[in-house]
Amino acid sequence: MDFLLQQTVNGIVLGSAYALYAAGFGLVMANLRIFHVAHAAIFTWGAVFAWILTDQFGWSLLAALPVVAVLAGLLDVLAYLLLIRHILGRRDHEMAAFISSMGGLIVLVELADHFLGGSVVRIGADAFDSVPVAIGPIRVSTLHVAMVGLAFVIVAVTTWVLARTQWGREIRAVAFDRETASILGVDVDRVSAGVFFVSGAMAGVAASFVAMAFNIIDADLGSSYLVIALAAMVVGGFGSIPGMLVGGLLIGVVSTYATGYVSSSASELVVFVLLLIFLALRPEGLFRVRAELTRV
Amino acid sequence: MTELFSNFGAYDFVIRDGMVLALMALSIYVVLSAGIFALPQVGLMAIGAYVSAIVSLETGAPFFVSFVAGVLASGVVAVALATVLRRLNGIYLAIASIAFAETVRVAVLNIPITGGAQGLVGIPRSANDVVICVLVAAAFLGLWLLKRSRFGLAIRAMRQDPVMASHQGIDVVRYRTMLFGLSGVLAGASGALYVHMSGFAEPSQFSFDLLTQLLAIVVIGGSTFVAGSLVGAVVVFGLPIALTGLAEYEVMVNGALIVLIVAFAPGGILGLLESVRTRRRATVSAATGEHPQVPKPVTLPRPDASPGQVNLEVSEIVMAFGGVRALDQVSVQARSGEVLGVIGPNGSGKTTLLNVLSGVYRPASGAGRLLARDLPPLWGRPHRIAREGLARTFQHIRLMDTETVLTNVRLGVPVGTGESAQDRARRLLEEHGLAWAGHVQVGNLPYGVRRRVEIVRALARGPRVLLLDEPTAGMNPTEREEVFDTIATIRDRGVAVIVVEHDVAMMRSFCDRLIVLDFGKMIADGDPDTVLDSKEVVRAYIGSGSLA
Amino acid sequence: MKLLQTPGGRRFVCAAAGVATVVAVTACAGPANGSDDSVKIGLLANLTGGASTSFGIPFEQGFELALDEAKAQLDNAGVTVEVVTEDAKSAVPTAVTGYNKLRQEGVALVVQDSQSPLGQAVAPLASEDGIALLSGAGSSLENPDGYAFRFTDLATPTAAVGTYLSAQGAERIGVVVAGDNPSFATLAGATEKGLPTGFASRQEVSSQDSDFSAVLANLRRDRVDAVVLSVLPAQAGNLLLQASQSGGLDGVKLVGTLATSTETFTVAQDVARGFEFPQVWAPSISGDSDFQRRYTEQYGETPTAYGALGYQVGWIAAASIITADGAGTADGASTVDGAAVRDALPAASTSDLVHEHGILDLELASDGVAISKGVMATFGPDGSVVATEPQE
Repeated sequence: MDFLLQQTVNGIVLGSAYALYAAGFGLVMANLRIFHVAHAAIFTWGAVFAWILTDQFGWSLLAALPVVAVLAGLLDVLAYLLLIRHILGRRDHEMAAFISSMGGLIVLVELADHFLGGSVVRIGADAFDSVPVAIGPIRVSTLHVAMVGLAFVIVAVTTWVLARTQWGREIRAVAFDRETASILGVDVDRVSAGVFFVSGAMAGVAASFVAMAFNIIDADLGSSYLVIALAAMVVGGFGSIPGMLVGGLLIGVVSTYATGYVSSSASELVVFVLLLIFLALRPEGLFRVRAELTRV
Repeated sequence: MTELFSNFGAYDFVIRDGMVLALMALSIYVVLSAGIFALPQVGLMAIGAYVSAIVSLETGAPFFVSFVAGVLASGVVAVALATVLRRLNGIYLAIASIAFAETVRVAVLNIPITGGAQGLVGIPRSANDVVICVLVAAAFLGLWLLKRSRFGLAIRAMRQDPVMASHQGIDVVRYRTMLFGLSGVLAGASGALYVHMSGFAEPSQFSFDLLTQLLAIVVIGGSTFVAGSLVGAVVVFGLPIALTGLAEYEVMVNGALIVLIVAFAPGGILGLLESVRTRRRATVSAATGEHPQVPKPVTLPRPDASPGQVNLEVSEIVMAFGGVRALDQVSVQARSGEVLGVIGPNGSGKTTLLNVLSGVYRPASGAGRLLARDLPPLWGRPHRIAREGLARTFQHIRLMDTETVLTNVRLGVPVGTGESAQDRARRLLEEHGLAWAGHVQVGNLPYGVRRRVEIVRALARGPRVLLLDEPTAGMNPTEREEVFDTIATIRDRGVAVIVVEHDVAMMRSFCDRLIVLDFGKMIADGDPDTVLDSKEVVRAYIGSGSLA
Repeated sequence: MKLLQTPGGRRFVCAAAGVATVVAVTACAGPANGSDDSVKIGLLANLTGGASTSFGIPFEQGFELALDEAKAQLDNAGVTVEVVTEDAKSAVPTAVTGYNKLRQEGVALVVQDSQSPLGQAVAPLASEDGIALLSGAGSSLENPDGYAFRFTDLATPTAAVGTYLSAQGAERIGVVVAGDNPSFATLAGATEKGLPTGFASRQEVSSQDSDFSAVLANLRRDRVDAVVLSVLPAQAGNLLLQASQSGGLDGVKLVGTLATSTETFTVAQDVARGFEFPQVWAPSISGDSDFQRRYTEQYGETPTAYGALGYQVGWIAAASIITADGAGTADGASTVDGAAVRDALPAASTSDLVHEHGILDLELASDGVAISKGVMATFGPDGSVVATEPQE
């Protein structure tokens, strides 16, 4: 029982990292219908920014976090301008945007690889004063608690922004129908860039925590979580930010159980098969946001 | 004599590798060129590779047998995958198919017979250069012939507009499944070739990196050209030679090249070359200048349908979108030899009605009949309804802009008419005074002419029911006259015509019968004068303030 | 799960299918067997690409150093050896291309530093061409006629770890293994052989995993008293860190494998102090050996285990050529071909010459498998790998 409880907590911590990754990814995917794989590289660079600020400049992780968010957000806006913007009007924009974004992913990952000299770096332990906490038989650390808390806060804030603010309404208008939104006077370009900024900022924050908690930063950091993030996104439902939190946590717990009771490689299989089942049987995920209509 | 490439010195393996990967790139081309955004190919290649390797190692079967086993295995898996994922499109399909490929890779690592992470060695290196050359050449030739066939035309139509394609009788889901299968066969073939060329199989080779490299090949060469895979392979494999000394930037340059190609030359290198060539040709055709306005001769015999027979009938149709009833208990009859007009204010459900009639939507309830056919089983399957004798045009013109007028009309010709599609298309164009435009790209034509081309394409089916969605929108009065004259001719041949239009005055003088929709409800049906003078109709129009 | 791999995975190879000019140039170059009757050794090293920093470059340096030093002995025996180096670029097609060039040069022996797929691709070709192959592949190679030798013995030093832990009184020994990597799977299997009762807990992870909380919880549940970390170097460091952060494994002895490297220290830093792991060879912290001093003089860096392996393999290669040449003279012929080198390699690996000049135990068996004892190592104050001093 204790073991199950411990593994559940481990799964939630891991799942909150997946959820943060997936939420940024899903924001772009749901609102702009773009499979922006270069998000993985933004994630990697977020971790690299965090490493530069903490390790090279001696900042604490919490102080570095807002700066990392802004830098990663700006990098994602740059990605939007260079990779995506000119493609959106095309008939085959979904495929073209994916391929263009893939090209960007390759370039950004290579740049990170050259920047890091092909080696692994880590954020020093003094950047976040993590203390192990034992709650009954369960072991966690303050860093883990902060990660889970942050995932919930970010999801709550994003949901609120999308639902309640003028900007959120504009995003939803663009998501629903790009053309109509622009006729209605929404600055589609600005809204899109904004979505990319927020998505990149989320990636930056998520990456900082992942780098801190899991100790490793290399050029492939973002890529190695990509398919898992896709799974969290699909299970949770593309358009729904809270859905992605649930999806991330679910995937985290399921893969931790699989590791705990079978093996880690089984956990990969379990996650992928779960993903395929959802895509085949319930592609709208657990939380359906809107019906896809065939427009004629 | 089987070592053709040994003349290439030390580079023989690289050339073989390049050829097998070009074959693999074809498996990506096959789906991308049909506009299907699916990327399961690396997983399928792994299946072909491992199945053929295991057959060779376990049974000692000759190359041909293990090759066929690998090809069949991955082909079957591909078809099964297409069936499982048939509801998915766009990025969902891309994600699902990439997840499939990753699942295969992880599965290979965990199944004992694949040798897990250690891989398999000692596979007979029985795929000699002649075998590789013959298979790769056969694949290229086969796909080139396929592209020129009717199948190829259907695939181009699917890429540009699946909804339009399905209205030409093309079963998009079935074609997609077949293309998945074909992609699986090609991927399996290259996998089987690869292991029998190199002598080993190792799971890390079937990674996402391979996919990015293959996509680079296809995109750089031109994703809609069979030869694009060859051109792309030469660039992707040749670039590092041109960049000697910059070895560490090779991968980055490839990434940048992908971005640049997508941005500035979406058709790839071959697309760029072609557009240069057609631009030259376009200037030539523009120089030939004014096209003659040939009067339309009426030469077609009337079909044997008795006038007044009900060709299409639907009753009590309810179509709802998320709680909003776009159509509410609508019943329509279309009789042969009659023009039925559908009018109503904006958003009253006119286009929705046509979409129900042509099978785009599946109504929540209602019944219907098309000639002798019961309609409800055909809802959601426009290709079946099209094959039963219904043709339509669209509110926003749906033609293949980059193809010629003749090709567009040819797409409309159903299979098995006894007449060659080319001849029939040419004859129809002649009859409608468009013979001059036969070899002009649709995209270069004025709007009004394009509308007429779309109508001719619909007629190419020899329909018994014809749906026209705003056929005169954006035309000048003379052009409108001409179109309505054409419609009259069609009607006189015994076709049941349903026209949606905004121009109430024109509809009054022209239609044999009118129905009026308002907020999804049918508020009038009958003789145009009676209908348009009814109080309810006047209220509906004045209420919405758009009486034309 | 991993989408983009840095090492090895990139298949952007370096020759063109259609670039006729390049092909023509190489074709014209043709077999360039010189008029001199020197024996040629091909060095197919990963000088660029993912495997270059850790394996290819140090190996090449050690190898060159050995052959430089062996010149006197070779001269004495009346043999001239020429080393032809080709860059395998950490990818299969380029490795095979490099091998083909070496074959055209008429080499009798090809030495290849690392990466299983490269070895797997080259082995059948070498066997067909009758060229001896000495490879650093971790996986087994196709070897019908005995031409392929692997100089990597992952098993023996790792099995020694099991024995070492048992000797220290560990009873419940667990293992964390990167199951998707052939080398680590082999390592874990080898360690198990050194244990009287097998592993008390076996945790499979993938090479991309970085969160080990589930695995550590499993280990705690299984109440292990020692754990072998048969994972990538950075992962080993990460495991050390997370074990110390999450607690509950205090007093449990963690040990590494042959693959443990300074990267482990980069990640774990102070937590990695006192961490022990086997190595093929490690520099001693106190007395510099001759090899260590010369290597450092030559290349400006302390040799790594792979540099030492290159050096050892260099001496073995030289010894095998001398033996093969001697055998040839007895027959009255003076050509040293692949078959002769193949036959000479096992004995040469344990010859007096190699014992005298070599720096580690490496014995090649005629079935192509190597036996190498290795040493236990730990991290020095600056994080570099050093041999553990024998503690009495």
